[in-house]
Amino acid sequence: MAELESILIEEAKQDSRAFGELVLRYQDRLFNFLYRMTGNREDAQDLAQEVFLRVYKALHRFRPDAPFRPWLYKIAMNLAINHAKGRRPTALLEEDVPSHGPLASPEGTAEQRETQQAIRQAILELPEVYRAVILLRHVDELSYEEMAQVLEVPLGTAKVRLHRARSLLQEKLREAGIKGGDHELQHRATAHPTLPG
Amino acid sequence: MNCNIAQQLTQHFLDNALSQAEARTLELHLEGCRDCRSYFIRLERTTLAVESLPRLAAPPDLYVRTMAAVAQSAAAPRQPQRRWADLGLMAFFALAGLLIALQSGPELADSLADLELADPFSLVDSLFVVAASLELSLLAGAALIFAAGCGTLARLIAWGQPSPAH
Ligand SMILES: [Zn+2]
Repeated sequence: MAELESILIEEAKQDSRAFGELVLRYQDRLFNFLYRMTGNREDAQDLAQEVFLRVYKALHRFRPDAPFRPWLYKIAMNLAINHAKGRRPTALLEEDVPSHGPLASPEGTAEQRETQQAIRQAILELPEVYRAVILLRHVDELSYEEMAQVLEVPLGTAKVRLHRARSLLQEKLREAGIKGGDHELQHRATAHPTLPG
Repeated sequence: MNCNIAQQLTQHFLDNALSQAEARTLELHLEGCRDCRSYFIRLERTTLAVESLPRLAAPPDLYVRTMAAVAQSAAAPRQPQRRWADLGLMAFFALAGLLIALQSGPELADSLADLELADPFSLVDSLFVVAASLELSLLAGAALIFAAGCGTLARLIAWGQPSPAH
């Protein structure tokens, strides 16, 4: 996987059509990340295009042994943060239209949709850096090392930011009153299936 | 164990970074502490909610537009703003050449004319020297302009080529 990727990158340095393979490989993830960062499809598409263009222009400086994914996300994150500067907090206008293909989600219940709506709004209300950290870890599933590379901070710092981001998000959802019946909470706590030991 | 540590362990649990012993300690605390228990559940539920957000696919024209922009970038010279910098440089050299020609020409003529007063050379001879030196300084200025122009032209031509692959 990583090997194929470095071959692709080497080819793309010579040939802009080979670069298209990289675009196809990453466009869904990149678009989704930027959509969650901006809350807006048009912005996400414009930014994604800009990210790819920057990657293409800087590709000749890219070392073959360097990890590609963190580099890509670093460019995307910085662009999205710059884009958000000087703007009012994004108001959530559009619905997530289920898209085609394997990435699309099935239609959920009304309650699930409500929760999703609240979580999307809460993510958009986070300060950009925390928003990015949450998405990088829990949507794009970057490793902690990759996350640290994207943020250009030590591993420990990256983890602390993620913890802070989760705490903030949890607090926002709590304020929004999402799914908070204490009965349910207690029931789940006593019979928690995933806690080891 | 205090609640701060329990909440930290909760974060580590979500990072899959708890040892068996730590997990047991956390579990014991959660059994006796309602606040930390609800923090644990809220945090885990938040994480799950983020993870279960639908993944949106890129719109179909993203690829088309991106590749068009890439092709345009590949065809265009790499740094067009440097062309303007170079044109500026050329203008500077041309102006410098012209100023040298205008300034040093008459000056040289004056100094040679001064020399002529003290020298018993004939008037025709001295006029010949003045004319020659004037021409020389004009020639120097023109040569400067010419050199700058040639250099710029060569670099413009070089930048018109696609950049070599690294
Ligand atoms: Zn506690």
